[in-house]
Amino acid sequence: MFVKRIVGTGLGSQQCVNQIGYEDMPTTECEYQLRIPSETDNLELIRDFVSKVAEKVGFKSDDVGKIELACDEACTNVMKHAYASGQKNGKESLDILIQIDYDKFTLVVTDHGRGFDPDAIKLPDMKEYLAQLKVGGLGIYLMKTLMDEVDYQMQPGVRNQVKMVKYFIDKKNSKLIESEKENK
Amino acid sequence: MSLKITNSVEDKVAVLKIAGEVDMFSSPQARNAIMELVKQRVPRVVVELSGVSYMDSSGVATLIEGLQLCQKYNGTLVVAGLRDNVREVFELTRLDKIFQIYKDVDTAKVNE
Repeated sequence: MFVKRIVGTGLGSQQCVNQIGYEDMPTTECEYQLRIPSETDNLELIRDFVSKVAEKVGFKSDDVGKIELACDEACTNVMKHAYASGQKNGKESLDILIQIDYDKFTLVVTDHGRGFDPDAIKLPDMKEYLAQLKVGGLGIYLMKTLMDEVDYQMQPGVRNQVKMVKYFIDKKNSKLIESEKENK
Repeated sequence: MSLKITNSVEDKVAVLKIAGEVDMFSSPQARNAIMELVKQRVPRVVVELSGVSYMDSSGVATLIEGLQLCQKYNGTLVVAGLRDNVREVFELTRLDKIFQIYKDVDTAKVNE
């Protein structure tokens, strides 16, 4: 059900496979792909796939959990919004592509549903959110919190993609360490 | 995969034990179990999560809804036995400030 493809042989390889059309895809060392019916009972299988690849490429369990949850939230959004209900009809599928580069793990979730305007979705003001005890709407907030980069490309009815990146080196912590060094 | 859910009600306290992975597929099961207790207007619902190895935002939303509904009749819903990864979801969404979180059911029962 999923494909592993060795794309490059070392750092700086310019060879790149761009099977499902994400523009400006970076140079890729290795990629894994899963195409699966867009049904909620497949979420566990999707998580297994993503977490096993993340483990294999060396992420610690804490980061594996973050990647797994971010992917789950992205796929849940597709099942809930892009393909309406996530009910079984066997017609709708989503693609999960993982690209491994020397410095980062890129996860691309692609669907062919209705899409949405990502700019129209405001991240929740958590103070207000908690004060009102709202139900739901946390998915994109979690994705942005858990991953280093989140980017959408929407072509409703044609191809919608969310690309999420996790760097192998924690850039936030690295910046902190650098600024601490500068301050000394 | 389906959740394993058991519940017991004793002395105005319900203990709802949930085990498995709570996501958009399985969370309706948890929601139904909570709704049953809400219908009975149980004053204190303790949701025991030590058997939950994974929870996404739909699981969190289910618990928020349960807490809201309990509060409507002056009841409460608390959680106990969170594993580290589940606790992290609570912390990321700052729900650790909203929910009373206990290390286990016994502590949750005592701290009424």
